[in-house]
Amino acid sequence: MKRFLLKTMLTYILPMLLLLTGIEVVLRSIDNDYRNKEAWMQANAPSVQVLTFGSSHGFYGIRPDCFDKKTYNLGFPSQSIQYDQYLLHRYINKCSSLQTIILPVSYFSLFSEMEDGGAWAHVKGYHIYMGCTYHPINPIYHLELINKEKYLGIAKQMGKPLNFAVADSLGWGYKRQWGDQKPNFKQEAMHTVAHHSRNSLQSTLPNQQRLTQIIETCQQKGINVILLTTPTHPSYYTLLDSTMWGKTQRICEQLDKKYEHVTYLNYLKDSTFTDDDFYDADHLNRQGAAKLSTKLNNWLCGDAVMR
Amino acid sequence: MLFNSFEFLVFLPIVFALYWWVFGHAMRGSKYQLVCQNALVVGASYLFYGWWDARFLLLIAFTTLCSYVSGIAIGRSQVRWHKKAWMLGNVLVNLFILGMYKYYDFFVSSLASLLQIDAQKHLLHLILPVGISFYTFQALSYSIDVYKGKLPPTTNLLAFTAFLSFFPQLVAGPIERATNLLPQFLQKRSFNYADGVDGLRQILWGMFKKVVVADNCAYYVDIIFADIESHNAATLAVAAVLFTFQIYGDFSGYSDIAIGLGKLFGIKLMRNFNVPYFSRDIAEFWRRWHISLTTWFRDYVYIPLGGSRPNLPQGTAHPTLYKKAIIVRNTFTIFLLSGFWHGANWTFLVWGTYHALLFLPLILLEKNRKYTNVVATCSMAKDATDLKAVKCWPSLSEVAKMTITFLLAVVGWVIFRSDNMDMTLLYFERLCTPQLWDMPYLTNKVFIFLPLLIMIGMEWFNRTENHGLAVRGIHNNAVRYCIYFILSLLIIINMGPQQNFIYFQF
Repeated sequence: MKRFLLKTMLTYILPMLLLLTGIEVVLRSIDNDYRNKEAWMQANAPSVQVLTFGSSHGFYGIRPDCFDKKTYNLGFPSQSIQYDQYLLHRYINKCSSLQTIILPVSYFSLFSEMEDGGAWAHVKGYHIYMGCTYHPINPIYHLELINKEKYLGIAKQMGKPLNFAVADSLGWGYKRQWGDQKPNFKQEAMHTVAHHSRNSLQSTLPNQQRLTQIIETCQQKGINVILLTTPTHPSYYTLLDSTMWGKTQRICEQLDKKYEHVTYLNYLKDSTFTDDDFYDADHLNRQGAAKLSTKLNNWLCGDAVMR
Repeated sequence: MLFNSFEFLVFLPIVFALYWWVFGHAMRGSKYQLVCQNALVVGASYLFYGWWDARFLLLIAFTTLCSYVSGIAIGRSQVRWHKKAWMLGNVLVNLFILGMYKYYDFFVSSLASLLQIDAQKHLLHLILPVGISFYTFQALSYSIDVYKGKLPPTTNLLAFTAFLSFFPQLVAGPIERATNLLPQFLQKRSFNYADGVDGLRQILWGMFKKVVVADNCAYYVDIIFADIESHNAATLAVAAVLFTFQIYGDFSGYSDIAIGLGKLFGIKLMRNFNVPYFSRDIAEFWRRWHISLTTWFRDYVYIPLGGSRPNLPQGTAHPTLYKKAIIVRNTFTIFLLSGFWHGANWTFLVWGTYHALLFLPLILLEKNRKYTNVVATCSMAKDATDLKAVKCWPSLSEVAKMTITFLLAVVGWVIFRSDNMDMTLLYFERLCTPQLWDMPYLTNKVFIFLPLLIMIGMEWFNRTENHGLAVRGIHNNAVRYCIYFILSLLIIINMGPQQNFIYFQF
C-alpha cells in the first residue's frame, strides 16, 4: 500500500502537477483581452464617457474610434447579460464621467448563460483576470490549461509570438481569428440560428431581472442606457424563431417605455447594411462596424442636443 | 456524482484512504475490519448515488431489502413451490417498480394512440431514477441464482447492500452476478499492488475514452441529430459513424473506470466490453458488446427458453422445422428484451429487431460461433494472452469483415440515437441521396479524429488484453510514463462542464 501511494505520488502525481503548473504559467503569460481590458479600465475608467458591452455582436460590431465621446468597448465573445452586469458593477464607481452605456441585446441574449454550451471556456477570463468569484471552486473556470480551443489557437500561431488579444486599444475586436474568407451566409445562418435557438423560452427570467437591475443601477447614477440590437444578414433574421425574438423585442420595448433614461435601438433588419457590411450571417465586418458605430454616435450627439 | 466531476476527484481519495488506511491498515486483525469496510462502501455508495437525488435512495434500499428477504426465504423454504413463489415474488416486485418508472407511460400512450384517445391525464410523468435497470437486474440475478441453488442466500445484510450498491458500478454497470460479486464482500480484502496499478491505468483509459473521445464526438453528434434537415448526407453519415464511437467511448469508458475503481478497492468486476468494433460478424459483436447484459439475457432468458438447442417433445412432427422456429422465437425474444431494456421507445424495439434479423441467419446456419478468438491471431494460439500468436495487422479478408460488421452496427446506432421512428426514417431518407459524396460539414476535426485514432490504435494493439492501456508489451518505463502523461494531459485539456454518461438514462 505504501509502495503504491509513494510510487504513484512520486512518479505520476508530482510530475503531472509540475507539468500542469508549468503549462498554466506559460498560458497566463500570453497577452489576452481580459487582462488588457482590466488594465485599461483600472487606468482610464474616470475619463470614459460611453461604455459598450455585449457578446461578439457588440465586441466586433461597435468601434469606439467612431465616437466623438471617449468610448471603450467592454464586450467579449459570448458575454452574457450576467457578465455585462458583473463588469458594470466592477467599474461603475470608478467611471466618474460615464454618461451612457450601450448594452447589446441579441436574439439569444435573454435565453442564454455563458456556462451552458460552448461558451463556458470564456468564463475563466473573468475569474482569472477580472476578479470574478461566481464559481469559487470549480477548476474549469480558474485554469487556463483546461481549454482545448486555446491549444488550437497556439497551433495556428506556431512560429509567431503568441498573442490571444484580438481587441484594439479601445477594446474593439478588430482582429478576426477565424480567417477572411467570403462568407456563405445561407449555410452559416442555418447553423448559427440553430445554435442560438437551442435554449428554452423559460430561461428568460434571470436575464430579464439582470437587465432591470443594470437599468436601475444606471438610473441611480444618472447614466443613460441604450439597449441595442445589432444588424444581421437577411439569411439570419428570416430564420429566427418568432416567439423567441418577439419576446426579446417586447421586453426591450417595455423597458424603453418604462424608464425615461432607457432607449431601445433595433437595427436587426436595417436595410442600409448590405452584404459588404457583414463578416458572416450575424457579425459585422470592419466596414459594417464603422457604419453602425457612426449611426450610434450620430444618435448620441443628436440625443445629447435634445436632452 | 459523475466520475468526470470535481466532486468525485475529492470523494475518491477520501473513501480510498478511509477504506485501506483507517478500516484496513489501522484495524488489521480486528473482527470489525470487514464490517467497517463494507459499511464504508455502503455509506460512500449511497452518498455517491444520493448526490443526484436523495429520494431515490429509498428505492434502492427497498429493492435491497426485498431481495435480501426473498433470498433468506428461498433458502429456508423446504417446499419447492414456496421457493419458487418467493423468487417470483421478488422478481415481480422489482419488475413492477421498473415498469412503473420506465415503461408505464410508454404503454399507456401507445395504447391510447392505438385507440385514438387522449392519454395525458393517465400518464404519471415520473422521473426515471438513474441506473434503475442496472441494479434491478443485479437484484433479480441474486434471487434467481439463490433459487437455482447456484449461491447460498446471505444473511449478511451489510455485505448484500454493498453488493447491490457498490458505487463504481451502481449506475451504469457492469451488471454483476451475485455469484461473482457477493462472495467478495463476504471475505477480507487486502490491497494488491499490481491490481492497484492496473486499476489506475484502466481508470485513465476509461477517462480518455469518455472525456476525449466520446465528449468530442458528442458535440457534433448532438448538433447534427438535433437538426437533420439542415445537414447534407455526407455530414449525416459522419455523424452516424461518430455516434458509433461516441456510444462506445462513453459506455466502455464508464465500464473501464468502474472496473479500475473496483481494482483499487480490491474488488474484481466482470469485463463489459471486449473490442466490439473489431468483430467479424454480428454474433461476435454481441459477444463483445455490453457483455454483462448480453450474458444476463443469455443465462436468465435465452437458455431457460431452450436457447439454440431446445428440448423437443417426443413425437414432434417436423422436428428440424420446430427447432428452428423455437430458435427464431428465442432469438427475437432476447433481442427485443435487450432493446426494450434500454428504454420505452419504439426506436429501441426496432433496434433490437434489426439486430435479431442480422443475428438470425448466423444462428440458423450454426455459424454464430465461427469467430471466438480475437481477430488477427494465429490459429495455433494457446489462448488470447499468447502474445506470440498475435499478428500486427489483420488480413484483407478480416478488414473487409470488420468493416461490414462495423457499418451494420452504425446503421443500428442511427435507429438507437433517434428520438422517434419519424426521425430515423428522415435520417435514412436524407442519407440516401447523391450528397453522400459531398464534403461533410465539420469544424475542428483534430479534436475528433486524433483521439479516435489514438483509441483505435491502442485498442488494436491491446486487443488481447483486458483494456486498452494494459502496457504489458512496453518494457521501457520512460515510454510508459510518456503515454500516461500524454493521455492525462489530453483528458485535462478536454475537460469542461460535466457531460453525462449516455447509459445513465437506462
